[in-house]
Amino acid sequence: MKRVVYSLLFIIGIGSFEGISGQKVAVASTQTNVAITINEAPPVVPNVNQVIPSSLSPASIRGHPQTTNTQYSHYPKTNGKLSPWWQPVGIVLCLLVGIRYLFYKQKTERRHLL
Amino acid sequence: MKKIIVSTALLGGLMGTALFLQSPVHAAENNKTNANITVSGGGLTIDELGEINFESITLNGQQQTAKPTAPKTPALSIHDYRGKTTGWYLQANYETDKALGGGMTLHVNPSSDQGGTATPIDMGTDAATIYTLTTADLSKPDTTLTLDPSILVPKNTPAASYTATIIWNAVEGAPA
Repeated sequence: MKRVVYSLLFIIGIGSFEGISGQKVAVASTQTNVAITINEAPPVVPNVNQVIPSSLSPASIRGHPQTTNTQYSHYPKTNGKLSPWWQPVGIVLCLLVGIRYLFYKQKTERRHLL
Repeated sequence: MKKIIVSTALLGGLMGTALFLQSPVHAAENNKTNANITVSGGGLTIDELGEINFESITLNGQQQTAKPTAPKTPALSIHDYRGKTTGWYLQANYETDKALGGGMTLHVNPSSDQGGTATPIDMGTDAATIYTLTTADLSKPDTTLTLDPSILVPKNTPAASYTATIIWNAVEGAPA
């Protein structure tokens, strides 16, 4: 029993000595506080100038017929601006097709009459 | 008459001998003074760097990096007044239970205004060596260590205010 106790004391003594001798002493010390704030992303607000399809206009959603509302544009946009060129081109094309159709109709009617 | 001459000669000889012997006695009276002074080492000290405040971050779905705003260029001033050339090193770590939360990482990229080795680290709870001076230069007792810290904010960091405490330790000798 004594041997065990002496052995334990010897081991503890050696361990303490090693611990003390191996320990480094800090000769200067200071501390610094760090602070940062993380904010949540702000809610996404829809752009009021954005093109809204007529089917989603407030009037149609409520079940009422579409009323004249200048707030909602049905024209296509390019880079956020109305395309000025397609309207006259479209009108001219429609006229040409219409005139061509009328001439064709008249021709076929004349042939039938003859 | 002869007696008078002999007596006078003897007297004169005695006086001359006395005068001749007196001069070395004066030379032996010179004094010495020893000047003593003890110079003690003043130790190794670090100036206090109380706070580093970082810019506020607004989450945007991407990982972001926050830079310090006050002070804009945080630095540690270390003074070595030990009066010896033994080296020293600086370690840094978070204080227990005072680490930065939210999955954020505090990165320190130090640089020194004199020789030595500066090592970039990601701050943790275990002490990490950020600067080592193998041999101290007695003519350069003051060292400024610019920290250049930044915080990496992951995209999934919860919105909140965060604080952490860093402990800086200057240790004499060489790191283990």
